[in-house]
Amino acid sequence: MQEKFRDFKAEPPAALWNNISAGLNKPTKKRLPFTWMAAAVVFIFSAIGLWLKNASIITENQYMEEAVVQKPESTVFTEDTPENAAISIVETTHASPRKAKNSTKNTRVNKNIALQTAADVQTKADRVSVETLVSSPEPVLIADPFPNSNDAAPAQLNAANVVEESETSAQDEPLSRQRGGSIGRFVNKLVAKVDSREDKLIEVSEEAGEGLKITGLNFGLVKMKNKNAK
Amino acid sequence: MKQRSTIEDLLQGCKRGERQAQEGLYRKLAPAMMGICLRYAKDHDDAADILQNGFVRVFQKINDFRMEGSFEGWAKRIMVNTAIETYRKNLRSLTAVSLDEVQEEVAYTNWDSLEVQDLLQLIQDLPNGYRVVFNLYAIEGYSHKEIAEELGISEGGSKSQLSRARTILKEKIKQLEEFDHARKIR
Repeated sequence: MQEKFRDFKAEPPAALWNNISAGLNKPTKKRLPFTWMAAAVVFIFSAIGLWLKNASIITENQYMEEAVVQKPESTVFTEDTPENAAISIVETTHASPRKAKNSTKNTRVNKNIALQTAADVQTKADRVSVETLVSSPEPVLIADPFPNSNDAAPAQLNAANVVEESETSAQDEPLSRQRGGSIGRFVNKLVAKVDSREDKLIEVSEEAGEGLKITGLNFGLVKMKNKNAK
Repeated sequence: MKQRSTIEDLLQGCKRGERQAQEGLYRKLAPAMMGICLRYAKDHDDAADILQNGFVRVFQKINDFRMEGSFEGWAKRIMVNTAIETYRKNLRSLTAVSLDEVQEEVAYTNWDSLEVQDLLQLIQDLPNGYRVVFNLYAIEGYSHKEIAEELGISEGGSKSQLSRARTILKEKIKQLEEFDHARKIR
């Protein structure tokens, strides 16, 4: 039986190659880079958001302390900054879940940050979900991550400005000291899972006490690295 | 030797996704692969479908081939798997008991008197599930155990499907033998 069919050949239909060719043309979309880029964008915003939460902006500092003292329950503060992105950050702990509202005003955007009681602050957030609305394409957003001026131009992402501004006040914050290191490690670890290159899409400082400081960015075309890092 | 190096060259091109290399490789291997598909399929159209789907998978998975061993063997494996998938639903009702009896039947039958084309027709006339098993056992040479594992066949079950296949086989062979014999007499 085997012998009979050993050299058995037959002519396939003439048009078959065209069908095969067509079948090969279809799935050429490279889904992978898009997926990890999208995930990376989420990480950037969560990283920035977490950093902002820890570091706090100048005016917010006092509010936070007061709120912690006065109200053990959840407190929501609204921050008005000229940005293109709306960030809504929700942190949940084992004890008490909090909710943050997200609203937009004309071209401006409110950034809402949920605060926790002093007790809750000690425990790590075990879940962070980020809703991000991005109105401008990524290159524009990331073009100037370490700006020196408080440029209020809508094209720039001023969360970056906020990052710059708040660095100085971050040192005073006892909360960030504890969280900065572990969150930094966590973010870097997650990014490393997604990005296999040596210079990661985003790299944050793993040193405690610095809050969540971005030490490196790599978007292929645009690369930034803080030489003092690690 | 020259033949092998040509296929290797084509393979390199295929690994780079070059359409011309892919076509070249297709033209080279299609006749043999079509032969394989024809004996797994119930008719010429099904065979063409299996061949087409099989080759698409070959080119999509080409980087999995590690340039060791026979490429034809590797491609043939993909064709057979494509055929199995085509008739997957027909395989569900097969059991281990059924396989034993099919193998027995095949062993006792004298195939020599039949021409390839006649044999092919006979095989194509089998029920889909049994045709797959028949090919794997009688032509590919897999063992009962290997086939059962490959097809995910469970132990025990009814013999009714098998009986039907046996009857068909016997009957067909008988007819063909008589026809062949009659042809030779003239």
